[in-house]
Parts: sequence; C-alpha cells; structure tokens
Amino acid sequence: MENPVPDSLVPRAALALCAGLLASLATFAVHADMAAARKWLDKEFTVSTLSRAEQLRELEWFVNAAKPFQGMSVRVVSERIDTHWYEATVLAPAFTEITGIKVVHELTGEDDVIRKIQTQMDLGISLYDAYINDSDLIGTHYRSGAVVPLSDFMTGEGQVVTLPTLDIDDFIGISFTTGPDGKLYQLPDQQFANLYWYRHDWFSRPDLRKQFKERYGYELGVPRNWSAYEDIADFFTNHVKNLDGQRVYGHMDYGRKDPSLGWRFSDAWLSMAGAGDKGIPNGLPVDEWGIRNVDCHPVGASVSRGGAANSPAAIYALRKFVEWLDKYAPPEARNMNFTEAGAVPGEGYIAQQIFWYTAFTAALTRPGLPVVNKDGTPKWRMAPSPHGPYWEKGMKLGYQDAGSWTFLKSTPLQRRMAAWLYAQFVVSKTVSLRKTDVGLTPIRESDIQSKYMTQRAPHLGGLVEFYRSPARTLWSPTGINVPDYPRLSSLWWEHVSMAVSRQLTPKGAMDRMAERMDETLQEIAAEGQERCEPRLAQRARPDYWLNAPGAPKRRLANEKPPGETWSYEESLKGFEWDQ
Amino acid sequence: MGSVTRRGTRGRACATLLAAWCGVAVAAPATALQLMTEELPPYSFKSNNRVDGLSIEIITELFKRAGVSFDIRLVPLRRALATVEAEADSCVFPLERSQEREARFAWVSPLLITQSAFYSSTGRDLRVRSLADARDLSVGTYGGSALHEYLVTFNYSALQIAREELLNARKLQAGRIDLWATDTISGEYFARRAGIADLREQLVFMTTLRGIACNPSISSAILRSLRHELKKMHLEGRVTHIMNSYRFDR
Repeated sequence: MENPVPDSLVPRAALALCAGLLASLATFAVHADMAAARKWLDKEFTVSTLSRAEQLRELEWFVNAAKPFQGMSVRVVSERIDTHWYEATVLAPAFTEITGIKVVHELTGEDDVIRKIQTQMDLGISLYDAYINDSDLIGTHYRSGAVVPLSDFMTGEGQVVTLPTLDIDDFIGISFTTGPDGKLYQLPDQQFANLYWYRHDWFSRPDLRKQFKERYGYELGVPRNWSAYEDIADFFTNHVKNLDGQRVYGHMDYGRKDPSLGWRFSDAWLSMAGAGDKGIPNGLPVDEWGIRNVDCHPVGASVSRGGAANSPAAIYALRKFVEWLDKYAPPEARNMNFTEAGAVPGEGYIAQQIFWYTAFTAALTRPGLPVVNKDGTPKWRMAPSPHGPYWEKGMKLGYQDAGSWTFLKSTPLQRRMAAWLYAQFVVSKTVSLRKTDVGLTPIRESDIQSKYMTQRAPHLGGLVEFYRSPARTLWSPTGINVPDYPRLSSLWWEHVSMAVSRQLTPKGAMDRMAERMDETLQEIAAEGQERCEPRLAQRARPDYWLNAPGAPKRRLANEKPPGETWSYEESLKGFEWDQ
Repeated sequence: MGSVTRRGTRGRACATLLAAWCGVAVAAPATALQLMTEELPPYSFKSNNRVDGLSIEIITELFKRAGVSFDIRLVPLRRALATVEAEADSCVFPLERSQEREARFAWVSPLLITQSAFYSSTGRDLRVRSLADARDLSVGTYGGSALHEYLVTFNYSALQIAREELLNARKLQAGRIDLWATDTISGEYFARRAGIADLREQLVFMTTLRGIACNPSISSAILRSLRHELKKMHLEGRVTHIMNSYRFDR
C-alpha cells in the first residue's frame, strides 16, 4: 500500500519512524537490497561495460548510500522519449527495489518540462525534486542563480551521496552543461543529434543514379551542401514522382504554428546555413541564435547591434525552409508539427530529410516498417548534415539534444540528495549500456566504444559511427549566449510561422524577430539576473557590422554554389571534418 | 448552462479604481472579459444560480486585484475553446497549457497546479509503481479530459470512459474498473459523494499546470497585469490556501 501522507511530509516522518528499526534491521535490509540488485543484474542489466563483480560493487554503494533516505518518495520529470519511458517504467522500479527510495518519474512534453522548471524557479514552489531538462537552458541556469552547480554539490553537501564510480570524464556531453565559470550545472542523461537522413536503398539504385547524373551533372549521393540537397529534393518530388507504385517526395519537414516550429530553427537551422561565428560547441561572439556576446553579456541579436538574427544568412535560411516546404515536401507537411512529422519517414515515401532527430532511430528500425529490411537492417542511413553557403570550417553544423539532470536550490537538501542518487543510478555504468541499447541516446564514451555497440551498429543506420567520430562535437545544443531560453524561444515560432503563412516575407519575419529579441534582452536586463545579464549595445549602421570580420556576414553574390555529394562511406569519414 | 453566470463583483468603475491603487495601468476592454469554464466540481459548479468553486475563487480574487472586470459562464469545454478562438476579449480556464494549445491562445498561468493519480479500492490487491504497471488494467477516465488523452498516448488498452467522474467513483466501488485515473482534488470530492470510504491512492503520476487561455488579441496591458497579480498570489500563498480549503484531508 502506498503511503497516503503527502510527499513533502514523508522524509522527516519516515526518517524519524524508521531510524530505530533500521538500526536493528540494517544487516537484513542490506541483504534484501543486494538480493534485489542481483535479481536486476540477472534479468535486466545484462550488458554493461563493467564486469558483474563491478556492477555488484556499484549497486552495493547505492544500497548503503540510500539508507538514510529509505522510505522517502522523490518526484522527477522528463520529456517523453523512449529513453525516459524506460527510466520511468523499468529503472525507477528497479531503483526502488534496490534502495528503498520510491521514485515517481513523470513523463510529459519538453515544453511542459521547461514551463515547470521555470515555475519552480519563479515561484519557489518545490514541484519536483529533479528535472531532466535540455542543456539548451545552460545560459539561463548559469545566470539565474536558482540552479545548484553540481561541481559544488558533488564536493560539498552532496559528497556523501556522489557515486565514486560516476566518472564524469566519461560523459560525452559535459561541455554542453558547463557554465562560463567552468562549473558543471547539469549532468547529461540522454543525448541525440540532428542529422541528415536518406533512403540508402533508393540512392543505390543504378536507374535512379543514372537519371540524376544526366539531369544534374553529378552523382546522386549524400549531399555535402544545400545546393545538392535542393537538387535531390527536386529530383524525387518533381521528376521521379512515383517509385514502386507510390508517390514519393524528396523532402520532409513541418510547418504548423506550434512551439516545435521554433525548435526547428533555434536548435540549429541558422548554424547549418552558416549564420553564426566559428566556435565549438557554439559560435563566439555570435552564436547560432544570432545573439552577440561580449564578456559573457548578450549585447543584441539584430545586425544593427552586431547580432545575426536578421543577417543575410539568417534570411536565406528561413527563405530556403519555406521554399522547400512549399516545393518539395508532401502537401500535408505544412500543417504538421514535430511529433506528427517524425513518423512520416518510416512510412516509406520520403527520400531524404535534412533535419532528422536520431531520437527516432528506435522508431524507424522496428520490424515490419517499409523502411526496414527483412533481416532487421534499415534501408535508410543517417549521415552528416549538409551545410549552407555561409557555413565555414570550424562552425557547428547541427544540433545535439542533451537532456540533463538539473537540481534547483529551492528543493530541500534531503530530497535533492535522494533524487541525486536516482539520477546517478540511471546514468551509472551498471545501467547505462542497457539504457543506450533501449533508447539509443548514448551519453558515455565507454558505452559508445563497447563491443556490444559494435555488434549493434549494422542495425542502427550509422548512429554508432556518428557517435564514435570526434566530429560529433560539431552537433551541439543551444549555448551560453541565450540568457533566458523559455522567454526567448517563443519568438522563433511566432515569427517563423508568419513567413510560412506568407503574412511576412522571410526578411520581414527575421527583421521583426531580431527587433523583438533585442527588446526582450532589454526586458531581461531590466528585471536583472544574478550574473552576465544582457547589456544592449548601441545601434550602428548595419554596414558597420556587415563589413567587420565574422558574423553577421554580408550577402553572398551566389547563394547556390554547385551541388556536391559524396558516397555514404566518404561521408562517414566526413564525420571527422574537424580533425 | 449559459444562464449560470457570475459577474465581477465591483464593476468597471471600481476596477479602474483598483488599478489606480495598485499603480498598474490597465487598458480595460470596452466590455467585461468573457470568461468560460466547464462544470467540474469542486473547481467550478452551480450553486444557487451562480457559479462557485475552487478555480472561481482564485479567478475572482485575481481579477479583483488586477482591476479587470469579467463575466463567468459555465459551458462545455469544447464550446468554450471554440468561442475563445473566435471571439476577442474571451478566455477559458483552468486549461492545461499544452504544446498543442500554446500557439492558439495568450496565457496567464499557472492558475492552478494540479495532480492526477490512479486510485483503487482498498479491497483490491494491486500495486502500481509506474505507468507501465497500470497499462493492462481496466482504468476509468473522464471522457474528453486531458488526462484521458494523456493515457491514450501511452497505449492503454483498457480505458473505460465515463461521462461523469461520479460514475467512475461508483464503478470503482462496484469493482467494474481496477483503477480510477483522476485529478486528486476531484477524486477526493467524488469519492466522498459516492460514499467511498476506502479509496486508495496508488500513484500520483502527473502534475499539471493549468492557466487562463485567452484570445490572442487580448490587450497586452491586461495580460501583464493579470500575470503580475497571479505571481503575487502564488508568492503570498493565496492560491495554495484556496486549494487547501477544498481538500477533505486538510
């Protein structure tokens, strides 16, 4: 039976009630918990980069560290992708059996996660004991002063509940979750990238390859630039039209006025076009949102203040998005959002998609789908994203989502400590390879390099190859230039949707958005932040900034250079562009 | 149900006065804001030919503080949503602020922070620790609710839809469903009305932020004022106080 006492009362009540009992039953309890640990190792955590003995030692540490918190109930929240479903329905019950700490792991939309963490920060109401929140908010968290720096917590009040074998250096996304002060603010829980997706079987057909070369003068292959992507889109939508008795399209995207339309842009679209500056994980001083940063203070997004949100490259990026949606995507795509569009490539009539989240890998490798062979291998591949004409070597090339454990100072310490134990459990080496196997959102170098993932690679369409490549760092989340992600992110869908619906031209939409972004930066500055608040720069003539080195860049005389493609094998080497 | 209304108690003259007291410049609409809510006790219900309830109390205090006049009508949710999308100076509450709804409305939120849970009767030997544990059980839900839609997306195989929450309470009592998925405050209320003494909370699985969703043309000054006052009400503990006054286990 569940305890009907409200969660907030559980810790003290449980601790007081159980203290004596625990002392006398300690030996029995540890045995019982280790029995549960062995059960879970036998039935679930059968693949790991640790030996079974090492796994047992790690779980024994959890059993002992959790003793002061047994009987407590903690509540956490995350978005609802396969990885988090696995955590909520398998790992949370396992953790409860092993440690005696009950976990309620809620699943909801990412936008709702952001609203909830913002509500807790604004109102000080302890809604959750921990959040799995995208690292896109690192600039917000660093400036807010409301988030617990994990670097401090792990060596301070949380030291006794910090897993000795956590191995922070093994996490591949640490640079995304580290603030300008060098402190770790969030711990990655799952990661997925946004890559190019295409039908490798169609691209390999001699008849189609011949037709393409005759029409465009180069090989049908993985596009290296947007010119080639556009040609391939035109080829399948307007010339091939029907394959094996069905209408096919050379492009897929989505255009409904919805928050996810904003993600499509703020995640990486401008960086792929080449609007920002060089710099990994994010361009400096101008990032892929078009926000200029001076000494950690955002100073503006409009070209007149040195930003790039309405620069020629940004306008070009929006123009191509709208044009391709109209010309090459299935007609229904205009009215779809992220979730609806995500399933479409699996239906078997899309030839390529320039902006495809690898979080859909598991969904697109399910047996029986038209895009999966009978032997379970995919007919499709993922490959490096093609870049726009403004892109230069040394710039990021796409997006990587890093859903990361985030703890707020407003959460009582005891609850934070118990939730930190759960957070570490679901990323521990005992568990993480199995979790990667299920959700395909790897976070640890050791898992990516494991023999097990080598065996899985042929079934995953290039996912393992991507994550083994050092060039994966070119795909990164929103960075530290964005001082208040929840507030600024809505500007993207509000303005992009006006271009999609033809209320405004792409230039009109980006001009208005850049202006609103500057105004919002000013509002944020007026309300104050704990550090690195925006300090709007004086307006200057746009030519001043367009003639200066770096972003914002002048308009190119030719925005459609010749199309370039390469083979899938060559593109895998291309994953090492930054080497 | 459209005849059951509540009008802002002080009228526009007083509202303007309040705005002046608060130092907030509110550009009041030509007529009172038209607020709509569905009948869902104890959040909103008819009482002596007027509307009353938990969310009505919060709304009344909020609009009074913000100096905005209003009328409230009880209408079915679907009709309320269609009306607000079509008519200026109209709002619906308390509405779950979802991604799908975000772009359709201008929001003042969170008006309420609610929780949803699975309930069983104590006579049943059930243990629900996660959403997966409940997936193959027969679960009673309120048809058309956001909670029902949430469970549908997780492929719940045996959802039993009821048109009223009271029916779910009675079905649980009669053993016709294994679990009842409902809002915790509504659950307590309807269980009491159904005379259930042995309701067992199995798992609180969802926290929901609910807000006031208005036609996007609403004055930005009114929005700012309402948001400002709502935040103050939360920080002062007024919203929590009103919510607690409707809990039976308080």
